[in-house]
Amino acid sequence: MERKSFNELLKEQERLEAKKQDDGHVALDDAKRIKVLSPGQLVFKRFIRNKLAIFGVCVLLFMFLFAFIAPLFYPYTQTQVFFKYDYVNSDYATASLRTDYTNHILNQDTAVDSFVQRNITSSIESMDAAGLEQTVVTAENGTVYALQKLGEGIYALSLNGGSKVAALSASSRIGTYSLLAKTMTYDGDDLGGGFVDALRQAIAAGTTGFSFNNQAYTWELGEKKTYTVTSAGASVQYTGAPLSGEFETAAKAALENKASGFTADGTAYALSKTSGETAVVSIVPGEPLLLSSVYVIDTTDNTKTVSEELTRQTLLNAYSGQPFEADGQQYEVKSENGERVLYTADGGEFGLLTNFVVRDASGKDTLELNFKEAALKAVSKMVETGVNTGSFTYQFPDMQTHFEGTEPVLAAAANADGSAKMRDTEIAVSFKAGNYQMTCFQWKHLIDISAGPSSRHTFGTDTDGMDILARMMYGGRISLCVGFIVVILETFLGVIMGGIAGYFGGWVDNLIMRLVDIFYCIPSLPILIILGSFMDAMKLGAYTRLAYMMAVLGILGWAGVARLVRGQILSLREQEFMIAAEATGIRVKHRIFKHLLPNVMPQLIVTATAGLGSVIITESTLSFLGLGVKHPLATWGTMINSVTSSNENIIKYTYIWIPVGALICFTVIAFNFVGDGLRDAFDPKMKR
Amino acid sequence: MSKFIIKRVLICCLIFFFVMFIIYALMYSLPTSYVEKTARQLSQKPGTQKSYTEWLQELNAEYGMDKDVVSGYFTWLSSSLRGNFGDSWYYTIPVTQEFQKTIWYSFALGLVVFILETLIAIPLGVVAARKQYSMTDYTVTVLAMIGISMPTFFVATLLKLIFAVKLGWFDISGMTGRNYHTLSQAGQFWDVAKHFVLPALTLIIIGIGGLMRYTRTNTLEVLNADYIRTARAKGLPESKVIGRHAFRNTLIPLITILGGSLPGLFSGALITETLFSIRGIGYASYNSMVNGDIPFTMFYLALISILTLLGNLIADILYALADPRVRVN
Repeated sequence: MERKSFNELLKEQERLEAKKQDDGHVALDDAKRIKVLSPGQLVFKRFIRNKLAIFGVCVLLFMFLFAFIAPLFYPYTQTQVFFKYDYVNSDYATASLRTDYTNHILNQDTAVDSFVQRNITSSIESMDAAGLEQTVVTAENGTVYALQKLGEGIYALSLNGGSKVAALSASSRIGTYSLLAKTMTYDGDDLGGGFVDALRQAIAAGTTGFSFNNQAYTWELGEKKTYTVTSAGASVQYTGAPLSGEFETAAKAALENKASGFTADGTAYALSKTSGETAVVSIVPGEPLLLSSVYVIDTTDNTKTVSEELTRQTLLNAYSGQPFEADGQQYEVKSENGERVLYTADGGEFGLLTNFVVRDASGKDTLELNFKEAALKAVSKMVETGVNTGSFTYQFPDMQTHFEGTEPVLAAAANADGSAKMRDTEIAVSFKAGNYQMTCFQWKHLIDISAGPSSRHTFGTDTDGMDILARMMYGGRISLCVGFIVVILETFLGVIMGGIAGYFGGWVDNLIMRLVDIFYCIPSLPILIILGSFMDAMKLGAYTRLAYMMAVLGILGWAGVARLVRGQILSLREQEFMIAAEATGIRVKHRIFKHLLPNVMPQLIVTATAGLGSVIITESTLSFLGLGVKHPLATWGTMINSVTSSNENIIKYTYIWIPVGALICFTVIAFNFVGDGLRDAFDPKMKR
Repeated sequence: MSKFIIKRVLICCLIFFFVMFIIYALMYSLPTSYVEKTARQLSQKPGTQKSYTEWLQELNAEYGMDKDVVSGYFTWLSSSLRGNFGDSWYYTIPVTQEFQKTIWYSFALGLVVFILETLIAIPLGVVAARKQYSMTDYTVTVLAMIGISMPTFFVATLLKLIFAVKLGWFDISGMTGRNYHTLSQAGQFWDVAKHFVLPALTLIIIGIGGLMRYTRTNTLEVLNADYIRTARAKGLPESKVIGRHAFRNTLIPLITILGGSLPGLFSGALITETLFSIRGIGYASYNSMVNGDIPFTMFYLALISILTLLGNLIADILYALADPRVRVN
């Protein structure tokens, strides 16, 4: 027989064993029949048998993916605001009939008296009322300006080149003549002996009127043969050389009619009253200093802007019929159907002069000329019939809206043949505070608030135009983070305090346990509410609030953990393995952290898991009350609060608050189930 | 026994002293600017009888806010022990008067909820424990867990949606209907009672789970005890085993926590009352806290603390009374 080495013998035996096993022959007392599990494996096995706990784990897994991973792939963030175009009824344009004159300064070098400038409208109105083409305006400093009408609605102001030509005086009493005493008593200056002779001749002849030095006089018989002598009609005293008879007649007529000016011999004159006499000033307009007009230029092409230079030149040449140059280009104003139309040099229509100003809702001149004309027609009709509201129809290009990414885009709709599609739009006009307000349905760029569920926003948007689903994710992130941080904080505090109390015992234990009693007694929700309203009043930032809230929750919550840890340690301390540990003489640090704490861990994990649920409830309740986490940070509590403020909202936004509420419920239930499952798995004796 | 009670009472007094100190210190550490701002705002409310400086003077006189924190605390403790809590800034009447006005609504609500909860939760808990791992057990456990896990405001809003908005059976909030004043006395009572249905339902849904689980756990513990096995072994009918031997022993922890929760009937339901506008102590204190009404808030915090301590004390004493083993140890 061949001698085998020990090694070979062993290998052979192993082979035989393996063969036996393959055949399925296992001895009844074979150790392989019993599968030995480590304590951890045992706990795991017991845990996965619990259906509710597995459900809880699945829900929590989903929540973590939803809150922490999904936002990474979701295109929107929690504070992103969304926009849309909508067809809404709103202000489109404002129109007004300009009656106030606007000054356009032509000559920058010569300053026009500011008082004159400011009162130009009243000067023009009184001149128009008098039916004059030209007049003078005297400034306080004595400068005399000539105001000249260039045409309907356009006036030019210049320094008056004319001067005072004469003074007019109206009829006045000269004096009294007593026939008995043959003496003349003058009221004013002595007119000389010749005057008395002329008077006496007239009295003798019985004619009531007489003439002396080209001046007519009348007399009237009073008591005791006393005659009162009056100069008849106005008298003219020339400053320089006497002017023609036509001037004199016109001047006297103007004085009689209390007119402010007249024209004679092709020259305009103005009457200006000073103390005692009325001066006649000839009006010779100089180079215009400023133009005053009610007109503005409405451009035919509403994309073009009108420069101030062009406005000035157009107004200056509106009635001259002459081509003119502005901004280096040739223009001409022609009259068409009673309107002044501005043409460019190539004959193209540039715009027209009008005092009917139509501006868009923001006050800019961007509207089409056709629209302006339609508006003028409607307003004229309103003025004619004396009503304050009216309407007209206008064709706007029809629009279509679609989204490019998150941005809404507005595009013109087209007919089948490719031409722009038009839409008849009813425009309502109402007269308010001197303006004609025009409102109609139009496309507007708006924040997409309270949108219902759609393909772009699965749960719609909230009242700030933010995506609900994104906020659900980020809200979950905050809720879970708050839960974990608070639980870690309170467990940390609780383990330290409870550990000290339980391990050292004696007066330390007593002191810490009384402290635990005290903290048990402090009402935490009221304190959190007070803290919340206090932080409201102090206007703290969203993240500061969050930090404070977590700190307070942790500080108020450690007592329960401490009590649990102390109880556990008290009972563990008496057990044999601890006595053995003490007997082997290992250090205190190791006894606590290697032998004591690992045995407290199962209980701690169970309490912490259940604690997570209650912290999430507290946080969402505070946020719901508006005293926890604040806008713009999203949390589940605030999201529910913002849509359940009224009856209508409760119904209208069920698609928001029910899913959010369900998220809270499921998270908390899951934590509780997992906590229960863990407890049963750790300690099957405690299984209930 | 009397030694035990005296010891517990003394410990309670000590804890009360320190709890009050912490609460006082919290209020004391509010920035002066905040206190002055709220006092000024509230003094400008229509119907206020006192001016801003009068409020602050009163606060200093009764709450010792101008002294250092320890002597200030003793000032407040001495005045509040004499029942002097000052005038509420928000309600502009003495704090105790507002308390008397509101407490009975809270008590009525709490009592109804307490009775219904006890009547529903205890039988369900016992049934679940008797048929452990049955369908009934799972249903009861899961329902209890759902109740515990729902935030109050969500339950309240759901109930409002179903019963007030969709079905229209109840008003959405408030304590009286629109035509309350035209009703007879009995009609007025029923009107108010009807408005208490939804808040009570909310509180029951939230609170019932805990009691149910507690009953179930304790019943299971009792059912596993040796004396139950003995009772079964000697051939007693199951009804007698459960009804006489098991249930009586289950009652020990139950009366302990039920007794302990009795003082809580006076503490009001802060969130439920606020959500349903029930003018109880919880609603009143919520408004006072949100509006920075320091006198009423201090009073409410003190009240809650006393009630909690009282609850613990009653629970301890009841436990000692019901279970002689506790007294021996």
